[in-house]
Amino acid sequence: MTPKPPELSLIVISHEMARELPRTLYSLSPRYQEGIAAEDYEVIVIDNGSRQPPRAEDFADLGLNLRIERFADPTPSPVRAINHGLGLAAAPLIGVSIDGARMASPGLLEACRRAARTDPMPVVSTLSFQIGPGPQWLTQQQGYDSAWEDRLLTGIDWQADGYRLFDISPFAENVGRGWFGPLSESNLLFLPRALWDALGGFDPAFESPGGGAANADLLWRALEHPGTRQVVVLGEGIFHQIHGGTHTNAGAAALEVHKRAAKEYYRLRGRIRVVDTERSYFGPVSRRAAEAYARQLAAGQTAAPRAVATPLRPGPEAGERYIDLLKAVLLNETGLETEVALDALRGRKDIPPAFWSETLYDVPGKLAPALAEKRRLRAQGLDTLTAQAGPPLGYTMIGRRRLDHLQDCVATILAEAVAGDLMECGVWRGGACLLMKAMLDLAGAQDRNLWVADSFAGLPPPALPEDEGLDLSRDHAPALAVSQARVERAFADFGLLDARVRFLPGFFADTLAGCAVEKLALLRLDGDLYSSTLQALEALYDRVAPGGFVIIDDYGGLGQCALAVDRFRAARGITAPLGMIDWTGAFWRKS
Amino acid sequence: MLNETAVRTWITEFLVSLTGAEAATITGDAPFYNLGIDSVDAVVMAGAMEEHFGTEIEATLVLRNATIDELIADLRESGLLS
Ligand SMILES: C[S@@+](CC[C@H](N)C(=O)[O-])C[C@H]1O[C@@H](n2cnc3c(N)ncnc32)[C@H](O)[C@@H]1O
Repeated sequence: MTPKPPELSLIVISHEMARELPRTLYSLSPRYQEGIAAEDYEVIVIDNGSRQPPRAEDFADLGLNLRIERFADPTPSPVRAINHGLGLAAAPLIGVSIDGARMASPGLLEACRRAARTDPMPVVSTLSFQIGPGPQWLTQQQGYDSAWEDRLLTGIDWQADGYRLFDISPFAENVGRGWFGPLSESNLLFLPRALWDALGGFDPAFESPGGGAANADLLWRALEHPGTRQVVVLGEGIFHQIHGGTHTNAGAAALEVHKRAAKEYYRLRGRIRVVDTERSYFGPVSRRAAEAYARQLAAGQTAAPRAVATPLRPGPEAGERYIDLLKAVLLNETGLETEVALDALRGRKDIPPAFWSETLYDVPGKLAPALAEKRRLRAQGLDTLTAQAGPPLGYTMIGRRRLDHLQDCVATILAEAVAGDLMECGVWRGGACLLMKAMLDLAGAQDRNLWVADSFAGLPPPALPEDEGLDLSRDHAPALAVSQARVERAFADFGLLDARVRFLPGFFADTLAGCAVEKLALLRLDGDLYSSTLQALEALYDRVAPGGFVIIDDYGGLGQCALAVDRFRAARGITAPLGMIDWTGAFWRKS
Repeated sequence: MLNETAVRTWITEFLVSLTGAEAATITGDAPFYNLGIDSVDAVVMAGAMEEHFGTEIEATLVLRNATIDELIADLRESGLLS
């Protein structure tokens, strides 16, 4: 009996991806993919000129119908390797992933298979995301690298729940024209074999490294082919690992690389236009996907990120409303329009008169895309990473996800009666502390202190080799230096200043070890540096009560901070799992 | 050397085909941003321009200018425009 041919073939191109390909293939394997059986699909890796090509036997335990071929005649553009792969595919529906560094979400293959059944000549397209805080070509200039990415991936335990990839990948790469606009390309797409034949595969005229605009060209040609229809798969995605790719990871040279790709496309096609045909959307969105994906989508892309007022919703009680309102104010979500208006003036020599008479009063009308982007950044706590704007104009820079998480931690402490005070080391304008104090007051927790530790003069300059190059001291980052008087004033303005708010002014090295703190139910560290993080852990960790929370704000965002945490945990033999809150925040609970 | 009229005409045509906007709305002082041009489009436009005019165009040319008028002035300052 001959085995039945697969329903799906997927061509994956690899080039020097020893670190990335194992994850990609795991994410495509039947151990991880849901709703599709091992015999339903094959994966064909075409290695396009790696010095040490991957070997199929290294992936034998994945239970994957896998074939790995070395492309005999590698070129900088993967286009010929793809076409070679298309010739090997056995299934009637054939997919191409032009970049083998992209991992899949758990329902991706089954969703593509089902999406293809919705039309006789489907162009099944997928959404792509980049792992890490933002567009990798930008974040890699700010220190994002494979070690940072490895930490993020470990923190979400993605093999157990691949939908958590959405949590650490806020940047959606191919939806620049909105979630329901035309995709700029599809980095993994499935077409019926007949359509591949009709299109003649990828166009080998695209010779740029990485293929240049060949992938976008293929999509547009497919969409313009008579009788085809684009079906965009929602609720699933592919996730780009950083790997020195020619396009996604060109760093500062990225603009030049993109320019050359556009130039080649214009030379070959004589025009540039986005093909915007009518599309269908297919979303067999599982519950887990829906949760992760809704968080992603709601993060500022939609107009109303918070609960829409339906008449049937039972009114929350006043305390809940107070905390909700407070959080919105601390994050300055209610003042985003002003921030966006001010951003529009940054770097301008002269201010157009219309700014005062029109723009300022109609930011949603005049600066809609910037406002949407600002919402997204605030929700993800990404403002601190954007080069153009400074830190937010609210009371905290930690963003919605980490602030919500902090609320959950305090609520848990109160509900479970975990003993001790609450403390933040590195408070800036005090927003995170204000939330904690408001919750203590609301719960009538008269016995707990809130400790507010900061130099109130910004960060110390780097002194240890581990912090070399990370100078955020007052001279370099004046916006981070906030006086104690100002933080006290904020507490007073919110009616939250009393004797149980205890200030510890001074550099951590001088203040923490000998401070009067006895027992802590929550320790929040937000001092950025290796030194600040380690000093705080060494001085205070032993005072954290069993069941208490340790929260590290910059674990994902700053390698220096992560190193301090990793070293401290290793030295103390701390095995309580470290969980990622979002792209940078991490926490564990003391056992 | 580029010619101002040719550059203006080409940019207008380019923006029409890219955004589907009416040519009449693409005036010299209309911000690219308001036409729905994002940073990716801006770099794409630089690439297409370089190919079309056969002159090296910096990748950031469109990004760093808000309108066609500003872009023209920039080209003139760089000595690319006659
Ligand atoms: C990123 S900000 C904190 C943000 C704040 N948690 C929030 O909610 O927005 C870093 C703060 O840590 C403080 N800091 C960092 N290292 C310190 C040290 N070694 N001693 C005292 N303060 C320090 C800085 O003064 C600054 O206020």
